[in-house]
Amino acid sequence: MNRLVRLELLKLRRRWLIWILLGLLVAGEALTIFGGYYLAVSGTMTFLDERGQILPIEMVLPNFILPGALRAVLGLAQQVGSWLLVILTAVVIGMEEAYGTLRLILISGIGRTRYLAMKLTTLFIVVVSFVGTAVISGMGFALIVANVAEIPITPTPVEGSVWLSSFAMAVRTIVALTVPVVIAFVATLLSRSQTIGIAIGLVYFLAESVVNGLLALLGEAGQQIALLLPGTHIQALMAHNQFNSQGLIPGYLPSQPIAGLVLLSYILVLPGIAWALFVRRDIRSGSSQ
Amino acid sequence: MLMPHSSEYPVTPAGTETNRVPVIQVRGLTKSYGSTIVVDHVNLTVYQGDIYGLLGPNGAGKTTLIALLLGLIRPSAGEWHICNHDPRRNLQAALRHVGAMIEAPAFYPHLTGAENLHVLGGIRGPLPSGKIDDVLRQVGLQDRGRDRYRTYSLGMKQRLAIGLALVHDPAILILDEPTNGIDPQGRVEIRELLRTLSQAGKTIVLCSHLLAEVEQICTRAAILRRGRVVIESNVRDLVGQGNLELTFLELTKEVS
Repeated sequence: MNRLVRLELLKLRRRWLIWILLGLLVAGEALTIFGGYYLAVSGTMTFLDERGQILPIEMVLPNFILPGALRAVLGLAQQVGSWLLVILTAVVIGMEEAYGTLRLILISGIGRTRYLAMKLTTLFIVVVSFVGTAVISGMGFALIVANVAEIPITPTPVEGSVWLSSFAMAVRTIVALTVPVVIAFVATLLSRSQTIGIAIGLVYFLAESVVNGLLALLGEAGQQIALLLPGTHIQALMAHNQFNSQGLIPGYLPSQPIAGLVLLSYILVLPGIAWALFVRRDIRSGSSQ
Repeated sequence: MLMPHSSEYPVTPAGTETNRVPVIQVRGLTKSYGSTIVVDHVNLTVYQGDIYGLLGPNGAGKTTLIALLLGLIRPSAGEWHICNHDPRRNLQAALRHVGAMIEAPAFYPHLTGAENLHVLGGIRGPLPSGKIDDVLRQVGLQDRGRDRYRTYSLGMKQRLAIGLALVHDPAILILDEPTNGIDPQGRVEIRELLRTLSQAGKTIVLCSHLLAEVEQICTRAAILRRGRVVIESNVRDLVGQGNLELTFLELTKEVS
């Protein structure tokens, strides 16, 4: 499997898309850290807390140096990544149909289950690399801010280990990003179309808020159904991405264990359904260039 | 210039009727989509060392039959064996003996020819050092192997597809229209390569619309019409007193 994943990663590395997406992420991180710092220091923008009250500048600035910057960095990675990684996933899966190489891969005797495992492992590595890039670039930008700041900034106080909290935040972000990746994976694999995969992956979370609104009209039963959809659970998981436990978590969000369990169910069940359909499918002629 | 290829496989002279080892055996293979039968109870046997022509008009079911043999399509009925392996039980073991190109060549346009062979050929297992260069030389692409696939002409794409089929030195080659889009000189070179491979003990299944080509290089052939094998025989016998084209037209004509 290692060799197969290495071959997959070689295919990806040779495409501009992956580098463009990582470039967009790093640019976004720079904008968040440097831009946020500038706006705060210059007084161009005011920052609010969870209760909507204006935060004093000494409480804002720690968000642009370590360790406080990690929260902003990972939050951005999750938001931007949900879009960018959906596109990448659809390309990784859809290109084999689009180029007609799926047949070549399967007649090499790899087996359909191993093919899917190879693709999913590759995508998971991409998600982890994406979050890793966000953390490393964000840390770099935060260190620059700490060194150029004209006023002394007191770092965010941390309960417990900084490293453990940072690791937990990265893991939450990886889980939150894996869900849209899995949705795009299944949509592309079953539709055999990159375009449909991208469309479903991107539209899903927008549509979920509409569906949530409609379900709310159905009363208690509708709200119970809404609690099974992944969007709210991603929101709940990411809300726990903070160093201190006293941060406010909105009451309507599910608890962290429930959110994690529901999201892991999506991560396991959706590829399982795709596998069950894919192994029985006839692979007919694909397009060629 | 296409180069001969060394092989570890035992030589079985094509056309010899004794000591024939069947490498592909198909019995009652059928594929239907609803009420449409695309491959209809096909029986055929391909022996080691054969250059076996698979002929038929458009829509006769040749490509579907190949896709069935390679496990891309699930059969509705029937069975088949490749080198004594039942692909329904162990597809991986059966396909280990097969190199194939199906329909039009398909590769990653953003990779070079050599990278495509590395990525797609490497799926079966690690390729020996120098193997990719050997194969590129074999199919006459040694000067273009480091160029991106998207810059290749159709003929070069066809050559690369044959190269991929060869890269693991399989016992059986299944080639769907391998000379399509290749210039006359290239066709001669590919025919020579196929003959050399056959003499080295390789078995070749060749789908082609070019009856003259089949007549020149194939030892045995089957003609399909509407998913059925209407005849399977030595090419010598098929040609008979006339030529293969006459036999083909006679056997595939529609009775109104």
